Order: sequence, then structure tokens, then C-alpha cells
Amino acid sequence: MAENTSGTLSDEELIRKITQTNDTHLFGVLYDRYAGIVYNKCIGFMASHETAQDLTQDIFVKLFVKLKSFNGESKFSTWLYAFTYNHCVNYIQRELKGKKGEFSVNEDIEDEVPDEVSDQEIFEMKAQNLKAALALIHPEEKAILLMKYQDNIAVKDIAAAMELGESAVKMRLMRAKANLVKKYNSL
Amino acid sequence: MENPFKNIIENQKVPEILRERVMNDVNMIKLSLDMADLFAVKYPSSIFNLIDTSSKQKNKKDSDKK
Repeated sequence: MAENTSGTLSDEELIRKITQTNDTHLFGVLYDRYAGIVYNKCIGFMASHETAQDLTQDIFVKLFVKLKSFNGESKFSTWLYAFTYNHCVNYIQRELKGKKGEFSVNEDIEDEVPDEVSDQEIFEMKAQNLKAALALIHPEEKAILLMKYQDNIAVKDIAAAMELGESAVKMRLMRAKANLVKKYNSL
Repeated sequence: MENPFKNIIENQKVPEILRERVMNDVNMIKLSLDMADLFAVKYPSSIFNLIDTSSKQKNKKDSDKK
């Protein structure tokens, strides 16, 4: 019965049922909906497909446990993308612990307000070079740029999903864009 | 104007084995949660109810005797 109707449930209804019952079959339906997206987002962060598979597995297992913390303030997909990026960023940061300086965040100037970079300047970038530049900036900056420009998530929804204020998200976006342009131009 | 971020989206197929790995882990977690619920909530609750019922029956018998 559940098998017949679960495919037509909205994400939010499906999640409500999973959190009420811990039904693993229903969680399988959620997996089928989002595994492809999550896996490809992990590949976007990790060069190795094997690592991307391990990360995807970890994300879905963690998701089963943490699903109750989804409060519906943003769309589930937005929340899941933030959850995925956060997991990838944490993984990379753990891997690179002790290798400070690998990325170009300069903590001394973190409080400085960078020059505003227009969206037009971003859209004029060549895809291959953009990919290379994204690999050179801090993974947190990469994540926020992907949410904004690849997933088309509005600033207020990024703020809700990341549990940040809108002004903090705007500032992070501004810094990330400035850093991206800097790296792009240096290629 | 074309958005270059859309041109760098990966489009790889998810390996079938990954679903099995995830569902095995999830089933194991569900089993652990059910066991924890059984021993930490349901079992103590049924013991408490049993004790409560027995003491009520004893009290009733005592008051009937009087």
C-alpha cells in the first residue's frame, strides 16, 4: 500500500511520515528522489568518484538520523543541498587540516568589505576556467556560490537553510564572488 | 546570458550498489533505535504498568475485606 502511494507524496509529506514511523522503505523513496543530485554534488567537490560515493552514503545515513531537524523553513531540496555542501566542506576541511594556506582565504582581511562583483561578470566566465577557479577558493565559498548560481536558491532561503542572517549570507556571497574573480583572473 | 555554473553540473549515474549500502546502514540504525525504544521506553513502561496494576488490585482487595 505504502509502495503505491509513497511515490506521489510531496517531499514534506514523505518526510513527515518517515520521521513519525522511521519507515526505511519510505526513506528508500526519498533516496531514489535525491541520490543522483547528492552524488553529483559530491563529485563536484571531490575528484575521486569513490570518495564521492562514500560521502553520498554518509550523507544519506546521517540524513536518516537528522531528518527530524528539518523544520520546513525552507524547501526540503534547499535544506538537503545545504546539508550536502556542509558535509562535503567539513570532509575537505578535515582532510586538509594542518595544510592551512591551501585555499585563498586570508583571515587577516576577512573583515574587509570586498568590491562588489556583478552577476554579469560571473556569467561571462568560461565554464572550464570557472570550474578550475572554484577548485582554488575555500570550499565554504564554493558551496555558497553553487547554492546561489547553480541551484538558484534565493538569499533568504540560503540564510534559512544555513541558519544564518540574510546580511551574513550576502556578505559571504560578496566575498566569495570577489575571491572567485581573483582566482579566475589569475588562471 | 548563459550561466556557466549550469555548464559545470556533473551528470554521473549513481552506482546501484550505493543504494544497498545506504539501506543496509539505515536498517541497522532503525534496528538500534527500535531496540533502544524497547528497552529504554516500552519495557520500563510495561513493568511500571504491571506494578501499578498489581498494587491497585491489592489495594482493592484490601478495601473489599474491610
